[in-house]
Amino acid sequence: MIYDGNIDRAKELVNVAKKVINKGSSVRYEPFEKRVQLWNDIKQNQDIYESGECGRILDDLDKHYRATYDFALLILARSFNENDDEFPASQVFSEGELKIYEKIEKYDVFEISTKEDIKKRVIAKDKNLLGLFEEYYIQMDKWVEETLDNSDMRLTLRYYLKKKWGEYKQKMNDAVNDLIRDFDWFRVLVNEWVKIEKETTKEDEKPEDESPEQDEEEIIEDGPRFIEIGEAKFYEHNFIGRTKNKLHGKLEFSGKKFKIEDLQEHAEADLSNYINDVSENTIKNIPENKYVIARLIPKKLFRKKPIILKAVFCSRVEKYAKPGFDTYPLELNDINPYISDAMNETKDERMLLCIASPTGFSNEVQDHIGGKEFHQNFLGTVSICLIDLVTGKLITNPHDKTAKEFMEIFALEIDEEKVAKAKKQVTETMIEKGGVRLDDFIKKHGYKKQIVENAFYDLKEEKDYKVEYRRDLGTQWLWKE
Amino acid sequence: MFLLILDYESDAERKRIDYAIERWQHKLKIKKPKGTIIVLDGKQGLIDEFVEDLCSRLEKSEEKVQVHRIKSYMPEIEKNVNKISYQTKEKKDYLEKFIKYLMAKLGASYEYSSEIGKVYKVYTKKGQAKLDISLQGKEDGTNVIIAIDGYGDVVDFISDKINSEMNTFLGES
Repeated sequence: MIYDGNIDRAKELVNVAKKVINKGSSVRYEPFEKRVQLWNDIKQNQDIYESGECGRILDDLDKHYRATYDFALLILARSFNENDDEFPASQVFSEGELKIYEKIEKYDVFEISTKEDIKKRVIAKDKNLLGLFEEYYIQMDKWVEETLDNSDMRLTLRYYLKKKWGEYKQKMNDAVNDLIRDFDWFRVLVNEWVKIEKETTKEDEKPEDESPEQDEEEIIEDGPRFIEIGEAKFYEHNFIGRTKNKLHGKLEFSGKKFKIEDLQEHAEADLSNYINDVSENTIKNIPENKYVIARLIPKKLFRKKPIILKAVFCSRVEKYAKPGFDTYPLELNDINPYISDAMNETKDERMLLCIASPTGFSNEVQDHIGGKEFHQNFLGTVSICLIDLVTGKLITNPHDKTAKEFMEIFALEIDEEKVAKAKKQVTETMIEKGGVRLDDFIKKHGYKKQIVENAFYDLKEEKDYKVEYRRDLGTQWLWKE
Repeated sequence: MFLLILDYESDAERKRIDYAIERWQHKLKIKKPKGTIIVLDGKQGLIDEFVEDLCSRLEKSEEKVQVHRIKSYMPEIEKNVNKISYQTKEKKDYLEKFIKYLMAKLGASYEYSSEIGKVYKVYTKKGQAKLDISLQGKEDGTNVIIAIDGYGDVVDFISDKINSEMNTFLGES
């Protein structure tokens, strides 16, 4: 199906609803008449949108617009309730719908706080914030997930609140992942909360649901590539680190210049899920599925609109927590959430989504991203570039000019990635044997000569090793004096 | 004696019924019975058997069960409809904005758009009314037609309010 709807009109219609959402619960301080007018405007625009005036809009975007209308109406309905206003039209939402909104809204402090703000407040043992974390771990997250699965609630509201809750959770995870690594007292606290939550869950669960044999079976896995936890973390560090370096201040490639704004780093994974099951060292090694996001402002000459660049390290975190490795490439269900988020996050700007995987991508993913249907349906707003961090293979849609242009940034870096990996392995061999023979190393690990040479020369600078050509060995040799 | 069966959609609507009972209880004998009210229809013998069955299951059933024969009654009430229209030299776009403002001022909620205009609903202390508003753009201005319908005093009450606002806005008295 071709989606040829009028996006500009759809955006124009949804604008009032978005303004109400941006205002949030403080809309209650607006005069009654103003709120009635907002309610009526949103209802009328919703009517127009739902009548199909805007044509066929991409499913994800359509879902987002429909949810935006209902969520804005819910915010207004709550304001009428709170102010004891007589406005019966707003009594269309159930108590459950109003309650979950109120409970999630308590966490809106995470909307405006940065990761650093949150960390500072936790370190200062801010009671309100710690209270929210405690509630989050002991019951809130589970309660929200369960409530949002309740089919009595409007699907549109479930969709919107799930998204909002996901955003807050991510901010919390970003901060918690750092805090549980750096502060023992916080790790102990989270550990206690998680224990309480697990005990409560255990009491609720029936014994017949338990099937320990299955867990054992899961450990014995085989797959096309073996990436263990430390390696995965290493790939994540490198990918995120060098992407951030690349995006420092400005970006220049193929004669094009961009100014970089709003560079941010976040983590998707919630490591506290594993705090009870794995060692402290493992927690520090589990990849966090970090991502870097930034606005690229181009020089006016060749492109007018800014581009959002989102570079994501994507891995199956649960596999690295237990059994400690992953062997399979990412499937569509691993990367689809990122594509849906990208569709929702883009407004007037185009997004270049770069997904990097240490285990590569399944054939199905590669076919889907490279396919004609994807080109027709998605490339209007989102460009996608997949990076296999081990082989260096880059995958884009052949029709996607933006992704092709930007591939260069990542393609250039692939060798550096390999050099970094080679350096790690060379160092290990150095510790073990006191010297590394170039030809042996290439033979054993399958690197190109240039990569190992780069690794040798980097280590020579960093660690005071010697690099020498030895005629008797017939190759270069790295050794310690 | 009459039995009224009132359905309601929300808690707010239930409260409005309670307020109405309060307002009328000094004029009429009104009793809101406790317990369950059952409307029965069928052969008399079966009805007697059913009541007997119920009585056998309740303590002190003679105090708890009352049976009345009822017949349908159509009260003599009619929906009131007022239709007010205005002709103005103002453009349609401008009138649309004014109507939006006016509806917000009345606390009226947008319900839906029909082929000829927009439908709003307003709730006041005198009850609720439906407003059908249609605007016809002309070369030399706009025609505004507002139809107000509802039960009782609310129709005149809302009509007067709208009239007063429209006249002020259109510069008439």
